[in-house]
Amino acid sequence: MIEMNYVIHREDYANAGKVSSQIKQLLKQIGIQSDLLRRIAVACYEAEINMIIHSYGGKISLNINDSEIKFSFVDIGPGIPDVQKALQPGWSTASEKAREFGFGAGMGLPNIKRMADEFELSSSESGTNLTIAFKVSV
Amino acid sequence: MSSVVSYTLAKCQKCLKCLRVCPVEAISIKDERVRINKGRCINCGRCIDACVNQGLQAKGSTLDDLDNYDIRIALIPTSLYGDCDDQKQIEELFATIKKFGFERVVDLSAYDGAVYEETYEYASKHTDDYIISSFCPVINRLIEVKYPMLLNNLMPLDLSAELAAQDIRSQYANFDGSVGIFLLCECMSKLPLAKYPYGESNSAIDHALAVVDLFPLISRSFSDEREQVDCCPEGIRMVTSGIFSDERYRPFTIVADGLEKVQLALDLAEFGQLKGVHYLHLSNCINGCIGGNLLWGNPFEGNIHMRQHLENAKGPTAEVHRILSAEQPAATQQAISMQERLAEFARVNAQLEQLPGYDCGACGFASCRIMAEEIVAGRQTLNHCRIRGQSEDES
Repeated sequence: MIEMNYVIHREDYANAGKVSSQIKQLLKQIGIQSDLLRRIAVACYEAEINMIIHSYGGKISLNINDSEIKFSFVDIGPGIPDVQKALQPGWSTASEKAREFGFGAGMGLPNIKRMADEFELSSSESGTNLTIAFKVSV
Repeated sequence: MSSVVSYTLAKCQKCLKCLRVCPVEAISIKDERVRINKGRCINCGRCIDACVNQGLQAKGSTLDDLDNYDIRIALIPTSLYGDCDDQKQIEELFATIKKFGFERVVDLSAYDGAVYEETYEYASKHTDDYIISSFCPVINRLIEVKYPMLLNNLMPLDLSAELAAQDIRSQYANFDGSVGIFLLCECMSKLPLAKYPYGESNSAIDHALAVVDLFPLISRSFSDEREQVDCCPEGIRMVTSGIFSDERYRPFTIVADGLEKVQLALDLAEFGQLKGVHYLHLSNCINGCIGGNLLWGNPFEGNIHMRQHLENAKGPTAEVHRILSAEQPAATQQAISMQERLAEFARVNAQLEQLPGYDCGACGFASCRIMAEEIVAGRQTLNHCRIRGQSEDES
């Protein structure tokens, strides 16, 4: 069982993707299967970027055990106004600034859902909680 | 594919420069000598460039090997045009090389052109994921060693030189004598092709010669006779960044040359973050194969020459339709359980916390992480660390 925690700051575009890079490196060192790792890398990156663009900041926790690699992305608000809409491809609330950086195409959450084996999303004004899990085939 | 780097202990100053520049941590120094992990080496040549005393080298075959064959055929890489000012000089160069004792000199530009066309066709049919060029053996190995997630994205086509050699071999199917196929190499990563090809288990190439080794002989015996060469424009585009002058490729192609750019592109590709990009044209050498370290000229002059050659080139592409089956060289996945892998990872991490994290290399290993793995495996002790080891003695 391995547990890692990472802090994400609001609108920290300069460091966008760094945590995902660290996690990718760590999973390569453990020797996670390539096709599984590709799905994890894509989902983790999308979720990290989401947190930077949309939230007031938060935390990424990674838990790895024999059968599963589990992420939780927990932020401190402002929450997703309509979770159902956010899961539709193309729907986006990204700011102008985010779009200038090439983010905000509205594919983030749908993509994450497609990549993950398990997907749980809950949101209120006090924060969003996204949990995704990937099954490890032994 | 194996490492082509050879080591001479007597010339080694143990300066650690090779260890520091290796992009895949394939080098260590144990028992006062350099060790190259052949399974990790990607033949990029960084360590050879960094070596202060020629202790590390890459050598090809010699012309002496010509004597072993009844018919001798030279394959001449398109990138060699980059060393020539004009068409006349290209044709004189081919004639000069032929006089070394070859019955035929074969221009590879038609085959590079074929790879260029096949790649376009393949990339336009497979649009759901990235297609990564596979013409550079260094990049192929880099992906195998460091980016295994992208292994299935490699263009499943053999190297142009291999395609040419197979083609020529088939032309002599009914010939009773021995046919020797010699590849002239513009970079060291192609030197081991003759024995260890990428993609196919048996290479049709018999010997690989370093172009740079032939230059003294070429300059001594330069011929004013000419051998007709039909430069193929698509072949020229393949070995330069000339792919950008092609309207078909331009909208979805990126070109990255040099390992730094290449690794940046591959890191982004792993995250699926090259939006709008579909084809990645990647080479270890600057400006593509014309930047090969075994050529005489440099990649910048070479680029100017190539632009001129491109204007006059009208040669046809060769006929090749040999897309390899989806079977790519499998990543060496150790047959150990997830449970054991996590336990091993935890052991290495615990050991890593004891080390300073400077990655100074003084212990003979490229990073503290590798040192930690060595300690866990029982091959080293913490005392071998120049920093933590000493402080242990003092206390």
